[in-house]
Amino acid sequence: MIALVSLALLVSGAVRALAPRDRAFRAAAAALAFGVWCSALGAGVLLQARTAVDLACALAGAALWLIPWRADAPQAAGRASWPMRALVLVNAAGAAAGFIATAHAFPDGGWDATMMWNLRARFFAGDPQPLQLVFDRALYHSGYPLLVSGGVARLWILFGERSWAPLALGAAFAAA
Amino acid sequence: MSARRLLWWWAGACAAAGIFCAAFEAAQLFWQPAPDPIANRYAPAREALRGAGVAGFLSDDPLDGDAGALRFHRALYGVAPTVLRPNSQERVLLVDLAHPERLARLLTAPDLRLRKDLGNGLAVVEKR
Repeated sequence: MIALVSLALLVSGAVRALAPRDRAFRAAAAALAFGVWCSALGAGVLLQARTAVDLACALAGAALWLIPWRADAPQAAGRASWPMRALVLVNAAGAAAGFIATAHAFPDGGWDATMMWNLRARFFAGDPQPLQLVFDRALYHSGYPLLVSGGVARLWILFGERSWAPLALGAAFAAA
Repeated sequence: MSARRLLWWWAGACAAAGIFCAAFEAAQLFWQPAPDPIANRYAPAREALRGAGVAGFLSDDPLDGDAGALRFHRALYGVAPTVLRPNSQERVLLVDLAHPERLARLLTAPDLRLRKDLGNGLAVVEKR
């Protein structure tokens, strides 16, 4: 519950403080806040204080609501031509087909997913684990940034260990 | 043909080639049979090892070969958050055999005791 409140406060606070006027910048601000929230779980594991880190996120989000500053959003210049729009659409369709096909062929994800992101997410999502296990030498890339692992673990904590959760996160990252 | 028109044709040809390659790759991936999710095989082992912290790993596939390395990696992910170490020095070991009939012979070793036979070549054993 604290995690969800902290997410709501962070995203709404970031959108309000960073980009109140422009739709694209609002989306970017929300994505930035979501990334901070995902990575914060990793920090919580490192500090062995997940609840305290979630509370800090909630406080940071609340503090953003108190900031009176407004960013001036630049205006978009002109509109894209129709060939460019068509190319972007075809490209997006190709990327979506590739994404779905890859998800079908690798139900657990590729090597990076199973050996880095989702593997470490399993250590974050369950009962608290001793740090020497989370960063055991038998596991790969201990120094890898915690954004993706933290994001997958956040979704697993919220929805249970569903195989669609990492896929949804990957799709969100690709769409961003 | 003007340089601008040539540039358009070049860009169009590149885009078409890219789209063809992406569609071909996607179709190939779709037509291949999807492998079993890792949890299908390793979920019972994950439960059996829960709380162990660290476990060793024994297999009849050599770990320095492709098949053995893949088996170890799938097991490592499958039983997390228990950490698997690719050796037999730990007190608790996950046995993951390509040929399940070899388990009986493995258990004739005097220092190994079967804790749980999970079937299909998977077992948890411990050092005596």
